[in-house]
Amino acid sequence: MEPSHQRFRRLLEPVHDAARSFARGVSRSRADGDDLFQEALLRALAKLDGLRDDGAFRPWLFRVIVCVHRNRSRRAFWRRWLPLGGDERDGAPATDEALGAAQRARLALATLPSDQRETIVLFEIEGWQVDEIATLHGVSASAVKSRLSRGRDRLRAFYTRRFGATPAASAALVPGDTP
Amino acid sequence: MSMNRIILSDLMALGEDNRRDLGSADQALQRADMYRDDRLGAEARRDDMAKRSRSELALMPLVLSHIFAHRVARAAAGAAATVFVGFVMIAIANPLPFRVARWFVPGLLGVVLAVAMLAVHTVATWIAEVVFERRMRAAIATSPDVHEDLDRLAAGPVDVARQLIRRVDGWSLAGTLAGANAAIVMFGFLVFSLVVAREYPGAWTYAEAFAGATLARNVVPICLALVVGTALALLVGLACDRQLRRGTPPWLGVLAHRIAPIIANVVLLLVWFVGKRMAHTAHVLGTMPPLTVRLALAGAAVTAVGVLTTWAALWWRRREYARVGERPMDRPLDLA
Repeated sequence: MEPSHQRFRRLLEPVHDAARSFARGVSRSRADGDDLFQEALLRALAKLDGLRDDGAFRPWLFRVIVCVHRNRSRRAFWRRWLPLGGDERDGAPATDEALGAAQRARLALATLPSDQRETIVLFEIEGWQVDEIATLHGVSASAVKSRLSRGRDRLRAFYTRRFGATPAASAALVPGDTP
Repeated sequence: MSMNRIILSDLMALGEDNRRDLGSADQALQRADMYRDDRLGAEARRDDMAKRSRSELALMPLVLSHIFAHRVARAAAGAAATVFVGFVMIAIANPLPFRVARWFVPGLLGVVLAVAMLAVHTVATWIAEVVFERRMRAAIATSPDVHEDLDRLAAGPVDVARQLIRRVDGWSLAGTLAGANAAIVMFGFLVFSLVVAREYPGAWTYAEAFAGATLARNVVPICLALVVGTALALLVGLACDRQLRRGTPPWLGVLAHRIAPIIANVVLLLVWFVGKRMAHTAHVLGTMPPLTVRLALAGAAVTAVGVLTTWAALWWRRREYARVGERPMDRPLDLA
């Protein structure tokens, strides 16, 4: 019988890039995303025996990432109320003009609730279909569409509030440049 | 360039940024220590998380346990009041027990109901506190299964407490509303019925209150009002429970609106006025109004009382959630 670590390596290989990219996408920074991905890997490795069908590894791994991400988000929320340690948030950039496109998007995504953020990242960045996201989150397709719509609304509101009230003003943001 | 295109473009840039320097699966697995026994590392992480959870529990605001205990107690007391009133209605429908116990006057009935609710409230509070304490102990406990501990400790004591509070949310609302509705409707009915037979001052001490046929004749509308009120209370509780997962339904938003109690009070005044006239007519002429009129009056009274108590309960619920730092009722309706 194939040892579990070899099985895990074989299953992880084809989905590694997408899963890591997703973890970075839903996190506040690349470092946070890598940390999230490692924690999810540990969790997945420990629970691998519970996965019967190897074909379901991809959604299963993403679900583990989502669970770990939500647990971390909740704890981060409560740290604001119960200051048990130091402030772990990344240092904010000096000005809005100094932000690159990716940083702007990351900043805007951080304002969304976890479910909307995950949905936006999966749909807009990772290119998942609505049905796939619905299966991953265990909700209906209309719920995913609703989350997408609300998430986009919030992103628009954040961009308008933070970077300019009109599209003309925000055109000066030089879309597409990376930090 | 429109705002949507800028956002989309930024998201694409973020995607490209995320895909830079991804490393290989092998490197990731080496970092995850899958090639050696990770027990020591996992134990260290588990111990660290347990330590943090214990600190979190030590600093956790007491308001979380208080709100949980009070919610459980309210649900239990409300359910007890509903059951109590149900038994009284059954007894009124078959007045033999009250012929035996002539001393059982409405005032005494109210005292018994109040004492019963207080006793149930107190006992339920004790039980809820014990449950809360056990859950908190479990939330910071460690076991030989390290990975299970890691999963469990990922949700800290505050998260567990919030889950407990959310879990009893619907029951608390339903129990409170059902109990309040049952008590108010029953005593309103008793006062109305007794006023028909006697003058106001003697109503609460009228020893033969339950022996008269007047009470037995009105059991049908009042039981209907009780059943409908209890069903609506359960519906509101269910909606509040679903609200935490699916968003706020419009009708619940209307009930929680500040204009709702004003309308309910106006309706209650109208019911009081019409009911008083009806009671006076019945007292003078000795005849009861038609069943449809009585049903309409009972329906309006139940609706007004229901709206008023529901608004108060929802206001109190918002206040409780604000005290634990949550505002789940602000979520818009998820049309899933």
